[in-house]
Amino acid sequence: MVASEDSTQETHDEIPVLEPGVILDVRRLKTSFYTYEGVVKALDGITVQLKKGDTLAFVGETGCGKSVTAKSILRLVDSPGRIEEGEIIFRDRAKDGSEVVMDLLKLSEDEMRQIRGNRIAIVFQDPATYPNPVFRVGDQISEVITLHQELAKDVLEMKIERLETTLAENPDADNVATIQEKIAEYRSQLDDPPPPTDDDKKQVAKKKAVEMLKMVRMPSPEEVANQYPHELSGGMRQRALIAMSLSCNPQILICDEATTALDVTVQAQVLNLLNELKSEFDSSIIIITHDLGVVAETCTQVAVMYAGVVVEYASTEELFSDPIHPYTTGLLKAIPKLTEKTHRLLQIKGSVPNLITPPSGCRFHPRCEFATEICKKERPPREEMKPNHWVECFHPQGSMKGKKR
Amino acid sequence: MEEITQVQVEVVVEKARPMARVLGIFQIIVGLAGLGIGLIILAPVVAGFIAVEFGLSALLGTLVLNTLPLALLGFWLASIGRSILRLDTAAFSWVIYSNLIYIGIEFLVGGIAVFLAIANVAAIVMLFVPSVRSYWWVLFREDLGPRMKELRYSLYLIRRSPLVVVGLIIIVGYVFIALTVHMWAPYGPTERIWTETLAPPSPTHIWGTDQNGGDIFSMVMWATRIDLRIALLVVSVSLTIGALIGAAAGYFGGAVDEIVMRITDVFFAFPGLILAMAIVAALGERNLDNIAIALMVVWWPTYARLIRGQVLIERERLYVEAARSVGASDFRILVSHILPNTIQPIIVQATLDLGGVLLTAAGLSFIGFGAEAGTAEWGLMIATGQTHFVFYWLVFYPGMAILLCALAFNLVGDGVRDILDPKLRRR
Repeated sequence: MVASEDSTQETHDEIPVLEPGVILDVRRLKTSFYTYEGVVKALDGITVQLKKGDTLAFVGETGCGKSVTAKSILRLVDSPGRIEEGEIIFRDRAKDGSEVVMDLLKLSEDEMRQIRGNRIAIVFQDPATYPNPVFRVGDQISEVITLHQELAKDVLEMKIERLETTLAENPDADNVATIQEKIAEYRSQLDDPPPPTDDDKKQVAKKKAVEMLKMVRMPSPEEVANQYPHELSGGMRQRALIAMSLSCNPQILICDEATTALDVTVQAQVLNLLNELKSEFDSSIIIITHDLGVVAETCTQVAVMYAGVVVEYASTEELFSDPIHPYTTGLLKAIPKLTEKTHRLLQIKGSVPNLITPPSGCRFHPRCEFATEICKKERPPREEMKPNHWVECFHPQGSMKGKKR
Repeated sequence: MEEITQVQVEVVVEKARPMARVLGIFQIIVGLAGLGIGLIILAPVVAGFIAVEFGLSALLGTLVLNTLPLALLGFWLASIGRSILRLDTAAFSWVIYSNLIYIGIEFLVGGIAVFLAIANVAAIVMLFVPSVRSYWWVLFREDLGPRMKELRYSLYLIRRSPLVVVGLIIIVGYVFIALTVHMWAPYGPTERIWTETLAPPSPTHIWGTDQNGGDIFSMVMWATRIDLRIALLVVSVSLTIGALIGAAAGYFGGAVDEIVMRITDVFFAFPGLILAMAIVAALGERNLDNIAIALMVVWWPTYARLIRGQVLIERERLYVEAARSVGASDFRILVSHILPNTIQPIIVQATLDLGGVLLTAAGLSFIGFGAEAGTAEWGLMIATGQTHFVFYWLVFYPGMAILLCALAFNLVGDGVRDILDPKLRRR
């Protein structure tokens, strides 16, 4: 792992610059799908930052490119899709504690495989179909673990622990001396562990899989590890998938509508769990959702997406208290409020445009009540209208209303 | 089941170590013996092949086909023994499977190899000696638990459908006959009693004799071995080839897919039997191995297509994407995620095809493209018998043997479909 990182650094001429504290920086990312009807410009220059320890939410209507963003970050976009341009800068923590900064789009497929699941993991929506139906849950989790980790040290520790418990339970067995010798031998190897056998590795991985299941608060994890996916309920499967994603202690966990298929109580449990695990594992989370309630409860940063563009990017508090982009204000107005009694909820007129022939200029202008001529001609630049509050709009609303043009 | 914790197991291990060591060493010896016997039988054949002729049929001689697995799997047994010496838990359970498979091979080879079976049984017995058993049994059961649950349910489903039971009983009967025929058959496969030609069924020849004085009963029994071997060989080889090619075509798509599928189209453009005849004719010699080769060539495209279709379906499943998202390579996804999900229709097809291959092989023999004259083979026996049609026993008994065997495979194949299909399985 370390060796491969070194080589990546050498092969890329310039090491990308990354602000301190930022773990993932997506810059001007463009992804298109070359379909029969034409080129679908699914992502058109996305710029978003994820800080360490933050929970970032991508919010937007269906088909606005949230999932494509997630897949683009992991480079899982399938043909006919293609990542056209942009940079995805990722700060990786190497084993020895040093930090490596790299552009994910410039890595080779092999290096990328080392990132997927290991450094950046993803949980998909629809837990019913994601686990492989023919393998037991525990085996699927341990496969990920054996795929990415050497486990040499864990194997030794397991052996030592076993022998020690043996000793503790049978202090007067006739082979105490040999067992103690063995323990001492294993101890001396701890700093430079020998490569483990596959069988030992499997055992440790299985043990770790059960630990992971315990970590995601799975009821009776030992039993579940030996069960097939069809024997679990939806919430349990979702937990199993989260356990699988977290099993290699990734730095970024992407939840692609991970809670959409669950009922509200389970959804709340899973969201709480995610936030607890985030601090436990010292990682960052990207949540993709169209549920603004989820965003308000769990996320620290929000990126509002519309038709393949991030129209507004701010902290959650800032966004909810002072929405600037007309689309965001529209979205927030559409939420029913408990304190008010309205006959009919407000809505944004029209529907999401066809991305093969997106509207000229600002992609939101056909539906925007404030649109003027310039919106049809030019795409608004991405501007920091308030500190750490980025908006793409010629006609900002909220506190910035009337301050521009 | 008594609960034994990991710690207790660890204690037991210390005690079980000497016995496990004996088992490991024993297993190595058995494996090496099999390797040795395989090589001893194999060496003259290979030497003869190099010295005398460079024909394909010599290399694929009966001995090579049988003893090559004996030698190769002997090596496998020995390596399992080595793993046991290292107290590798998984190796213990492999002792059962491997030795059972090995016993089957030994019976196919016959001769001195059969004596090895005793050693194989001994190895399995040693596995269940209390001190050794306590080491692997708990972990083994824990690992096998869910699988055993499904297996038990499958057995229940089998019991519920009488046709499958009938088919299974018939197949087991045939396999038993094939494995043990050399022990009790009254006459050898090529033995002829020239004084009693065309004798009707009687106490000495219960199914009568043919025009050369061959005992029909013995020949039909001996033929079981030959015909089942061809069916198994053809199906397993063409299945393996077809599976690999079809899976690669389905998974990678594009040019690979196009080329492979056009090749299979070429094979499908000819009637199977005619193509097999042409291949046998091209191979020159008339013998059983050439039939087998011809049928393999004819049969693999079926499997390639079947598996390609399955892989195309499975490739789009979400678990494949999930596997990709955790960093699995293409090879791993194809072999350990997609193929296990495509196996069910393949097993069904293979079971049904065992009957099909059997019929086709017999058909080839019947029209004169099969075994050499005088071989105890069902199709050939019918072919020679049809010229003496008044003597019904010449044709009737081998015909019934073919009918029953093909019927049994089809019954079982159909039942297996019902049992394996998750939609029909229904809990």
